[in-house]
Amino acid sequence: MWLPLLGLALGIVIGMSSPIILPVGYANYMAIAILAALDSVFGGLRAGLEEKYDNTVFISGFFLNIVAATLLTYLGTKLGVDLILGATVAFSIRIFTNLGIIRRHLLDRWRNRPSKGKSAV
Amino acid sequence: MKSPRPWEVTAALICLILGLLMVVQFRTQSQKTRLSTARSEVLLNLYEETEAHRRSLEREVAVLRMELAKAAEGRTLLAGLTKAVAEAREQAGLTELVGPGIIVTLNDSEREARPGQDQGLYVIHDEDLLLVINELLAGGAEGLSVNGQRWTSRTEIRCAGPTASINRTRVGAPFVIRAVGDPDTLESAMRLRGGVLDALRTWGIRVRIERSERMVLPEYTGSLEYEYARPVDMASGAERSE
Repeated sequence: MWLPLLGLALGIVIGMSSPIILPVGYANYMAIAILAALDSVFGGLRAGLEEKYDNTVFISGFFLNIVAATLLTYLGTKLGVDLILGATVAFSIRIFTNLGIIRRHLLDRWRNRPSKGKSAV
Repeated sequence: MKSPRPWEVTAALICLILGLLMVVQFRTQSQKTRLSTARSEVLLNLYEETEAHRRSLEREVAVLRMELAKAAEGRTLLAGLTKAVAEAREQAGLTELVGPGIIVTLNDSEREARPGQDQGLYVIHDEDLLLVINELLAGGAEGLSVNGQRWTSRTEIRCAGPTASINRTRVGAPFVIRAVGDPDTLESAMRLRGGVLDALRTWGIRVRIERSERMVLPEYTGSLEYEYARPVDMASGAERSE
């Protein structure tokens, strides 16, 4: 579990040290792309805990979700409909669902952990 | 420490990308906020500048209104002054006058002086002109001219050899005196019994009196400037003497 967290921290550090700033007009696309990415990551985490993790599914899902969400938002601005809201709601629901499932898996694991004898917690 | 499983490496890579994206987005978003804040500050500055400009313009309007009022006042004042000046010029004889009146023509006598008598008694003298003019003024003449010379407050009539000097100009007989005023009054003033005309006729001076409904008096062309006289200062009255 520590390697993905390290990756996240490294990404944040790289982002902080780089001078990249998006044009303000693209902020919406970036936001929905991040949401899609978060959804993929939580999905992957859940799959990993359920022992169903598939690397190809995870990576393709990650990038495809980002691209699809961005395109959907773009389409929304062209159509004059706030499709970004729909995407936001959909991703948020999925993230919370995944989060809940992850929480349960982790709790199950913690409760069913093999006792280490002396530890009296 | 166990070696990382392959999915952990992939997940770490994905998380790296995610972290990068998130930070960039955070920065973009904060930049956006700062931009909008900056924009509102700029707008506030602009507003304050515009407001100050408006206030200064308002003050300018007030000042200009006052000046306009003053100017209007000055214009009425100027109109009054212009009228007063025009009247003064009229009274001083600096303008042509037109009106009804009489024309008195005086010519030297045709009589010969008797032996031992002075021929000068039979020609017109400056005193004769002055008498006539005085009589006309007494009869209410408002304007006078003698041979084209306007009678003013500075006009002299004096003997200058065989001619007379009027307004420093030499004029000779016949003398044509034009007087603007009521023709009836002026004529009767002339013909007054025992008056100036009778006295002149005694010496054979030829006098002709014509009435005119409309005649023009020329303007005085000489100088009316005072070299020594000064108007008494009405406010202080310092130079007033008994």
